Amino acid sequence: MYNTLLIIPLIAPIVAAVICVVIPKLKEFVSLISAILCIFASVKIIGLKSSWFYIDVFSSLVLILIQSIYFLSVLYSIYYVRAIGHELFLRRRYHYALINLFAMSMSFSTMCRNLGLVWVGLEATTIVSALLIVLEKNKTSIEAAWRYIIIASSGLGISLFSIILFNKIFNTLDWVNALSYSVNSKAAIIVAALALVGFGTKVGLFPVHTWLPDAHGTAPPSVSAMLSSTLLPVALLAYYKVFAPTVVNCVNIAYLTCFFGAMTVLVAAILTVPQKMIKRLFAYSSMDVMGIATVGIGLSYFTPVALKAVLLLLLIHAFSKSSLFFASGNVITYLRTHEISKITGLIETSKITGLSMILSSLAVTGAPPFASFIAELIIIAASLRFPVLTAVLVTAILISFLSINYHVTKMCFGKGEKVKTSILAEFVPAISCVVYIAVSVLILLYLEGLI
Amino acid sequence: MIVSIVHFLGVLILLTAFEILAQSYIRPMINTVALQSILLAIIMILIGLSEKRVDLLILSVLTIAIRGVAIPEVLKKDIRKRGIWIYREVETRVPALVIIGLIISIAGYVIYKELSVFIGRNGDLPFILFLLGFLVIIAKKNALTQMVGYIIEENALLYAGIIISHMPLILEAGVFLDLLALVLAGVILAAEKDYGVLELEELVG
Amino acid sequence: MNLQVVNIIQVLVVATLSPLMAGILKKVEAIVESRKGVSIFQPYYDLAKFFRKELVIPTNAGVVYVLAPIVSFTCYLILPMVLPIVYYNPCPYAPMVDFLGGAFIFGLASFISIIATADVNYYTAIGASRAVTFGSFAEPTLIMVFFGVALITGTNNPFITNHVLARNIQWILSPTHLLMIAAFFMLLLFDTGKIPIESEGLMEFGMIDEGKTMEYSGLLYALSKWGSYMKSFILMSVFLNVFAFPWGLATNTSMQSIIFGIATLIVKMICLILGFVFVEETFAKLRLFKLIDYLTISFLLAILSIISFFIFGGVAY
Repeated sequence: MYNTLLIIPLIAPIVAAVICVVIPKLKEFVSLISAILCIFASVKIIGLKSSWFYIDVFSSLVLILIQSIYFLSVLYSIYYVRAIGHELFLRRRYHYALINLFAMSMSFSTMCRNLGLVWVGLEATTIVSALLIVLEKNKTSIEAAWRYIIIASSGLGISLFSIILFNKIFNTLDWVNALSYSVNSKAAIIVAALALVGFGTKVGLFPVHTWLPDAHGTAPPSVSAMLSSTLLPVALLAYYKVFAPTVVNCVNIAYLTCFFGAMTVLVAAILTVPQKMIKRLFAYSSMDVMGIATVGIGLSYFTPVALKAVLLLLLIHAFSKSSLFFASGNVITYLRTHEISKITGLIETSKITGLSMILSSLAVTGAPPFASFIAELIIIAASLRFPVLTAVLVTAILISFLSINYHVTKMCFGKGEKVKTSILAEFVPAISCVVYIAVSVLILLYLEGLI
Repeated sequence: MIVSIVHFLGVLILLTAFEILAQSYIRPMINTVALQSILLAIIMILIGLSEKRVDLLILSVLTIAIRGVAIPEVLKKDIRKRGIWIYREVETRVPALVIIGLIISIAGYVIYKELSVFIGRNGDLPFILFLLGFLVIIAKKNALTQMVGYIIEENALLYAGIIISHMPLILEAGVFLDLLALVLAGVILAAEKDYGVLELEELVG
Repeated sequence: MNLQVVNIIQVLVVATLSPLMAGILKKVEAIVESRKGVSIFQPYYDLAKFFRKELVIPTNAGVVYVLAPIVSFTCYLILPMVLPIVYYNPCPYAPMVDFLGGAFIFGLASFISIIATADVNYYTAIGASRAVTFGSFAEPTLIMVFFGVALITGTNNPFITNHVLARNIQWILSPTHLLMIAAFFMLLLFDTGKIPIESEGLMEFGMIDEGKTMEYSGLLYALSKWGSYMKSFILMSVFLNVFAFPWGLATNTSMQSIIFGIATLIVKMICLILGFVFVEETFAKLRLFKLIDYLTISFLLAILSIISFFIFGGVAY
């Protein structure tokens, strides 16, 4: 029974993709059905372990995130693909087919316990998402896709190198089995450092993040949402799978991870200030959150509860960030502009879009009522053993909180123009708002159980 | 005997990487990278035959078919049809690039020497080749050259997978790397059909 | 036969056969280009003619100007005594120098010809300054090749290098050695002024070594011309006997053996000349400022040969 459920997240999207291509009329319907099936299946298979798949808390959370955002993105694509109106790079049926395959490859990478297959899954996400980025046919998006693909593939090359060395050192590619091996600490840090750079490229860590704002900024909002809120955690999870077996052999790996995470947070926070394009702003905000999550993973070696905080942060970030991207998609289709300075009075233009944008930007930057605040608080508390790290984290979080909320409030309040709104477009960001608000309330109620 | 042939081919592969680094015309560059893939395929065949590994033989066929013939032919056809790449690149810094490449290879050798205690002695060449592929991607600006750099990197990875450890999933990895290479080629061709020469300059920051 | 006699035979071989090789190169090129070409003995006729011509010395030339061709000709006469040209063991004076010593003697010859011509006339000055500029880029390659040889054989002695290579076929085929041969071949093309570097004739735009002899006449021109033939011959025989094909030298001092040594040297050299002709006929002359690229590549090959030595830890058996 469990095994059949296990393959649903892998099989259903493929079937849906095939149907999208063969019977184009059913493309939207089939993709939605497959997403719903996947959500149910991944809720059912929490904690399942087999010889090929290993679904612990981290993986199951990421898996559920993937399927939920997949569902929302398909829903939003139905609106957005019709609304943009101009010439598309790929035909619509291929767009839907690729979204399905994208979700599938991410689930595959998340579920596998063999690092080689994890890598294959991530590589597949690069192939598929590069084609998704170029939905709108213009030179900028093709160039963004090109940059994404060339940087991400170089990074994945480095991580394959790290996996080859992993296999040489541990004599296995299975990360769960490798947890119990002890190896030379110098060898371990080499493997982990290569993996940090390699998978870090996909996570968007500081020196190798350059593709991220371009790709997330030019992709259609439904794809940006998937890239930001699920692909980055998937890559982070892949790094965690190398991190966990190696860090027990060499504590320096934890320091290294914290260092790069902190650098990412700082750089991303500073770069959010001068942003002019709405989606690039949110892309840098994703980078910021991923930096905090990376620091959390590094700290989880010293304080295991930090890992739970990372999961919580990723959960809130996924829904709030996708809500932000969907809302910005609405802004782009309503007002036909990407520039922050030209957008004012969103609340007057459309109440739901404006409200969900304000709420989500508060949630994503960790404002107090939301669970992301608790998560960031736990990570900062865990970082207190390194005062410099704490200082960097607090400064960066404050900077990004101020600058992102400043930009968003400037866009939301003021005098806005009246346009014709679409119910579907309003519905999707609102529903993700509801999800993360519900999660936050639950977390507040059961806070003791968490810690 | 086989070991020394493999070593010799390895040095030839390294030389082709330097030839690509020093080359400022696009077409000879593509030819060289095709030659490099074929040399790598010969190594795969030799090791596959001596260790009786079928996956390496399949991988060698794939290497010749995709990176040795298909992708170079597609790219060259694109050059012939459009006539946009027949000229040399605008910026050529051959001596500087070659010297940087040399420094990188010496540094790669020294770094690898540190690792070789745990990892084994054979990985120097793939490691250096990988760094050189990176250098090609970073130092050159136009899309076709970066594509060539990507193929060098891919060759280096597969080479490392064969030489350093008996990586069980090397065939699958190779297939996916090739797929990505094909997508890359597709994006370039599609972009150039509409927008002319693809050079990275428009997006900043 | 006495070793001193062998010594003198080596010098004579270099002095007398070097114009012949230049003539053969010209002839083969002419045949490849579907021309009839001049006789292979033309360089001898030229030299004889130059010796008969009147000697004119520019008014602003100094003593060094007169001395330079004589000194460099002497250098080229000394070199055959210390290098394996036809006989595979050291002659009496050979232990005095190794590769670096030989390079010093070469260096003296080119140094004196450069300072002699640096300020005589515009064209000679151009030739001299170009020779210095590009020569300084060629030097690292030469040093790296010597390092490579020293790594393989543990010594810098050309005779021992010859013996080690002749005895161990696996060294000949090792990547280290093949790359070194390639680097040295590129250097050979540079030093003998073949086509990717210099084209034949008095073209002011591209000339390097030709430029330096522009103002010489009569006896001095004949000596510098003959010296340049000998320089090519010596470099080619070093390339053949020490690096590329270390077999076929005379192994004892008997008459037949020495004659056999001379004959194989001529055969090997003709093969090398065919190689030169191939390069000259298929490549175009590089623009002057691209010569640095050319020399960079030869340096690259030399460095790679050394890197590959360390990577594979010497020969893979």
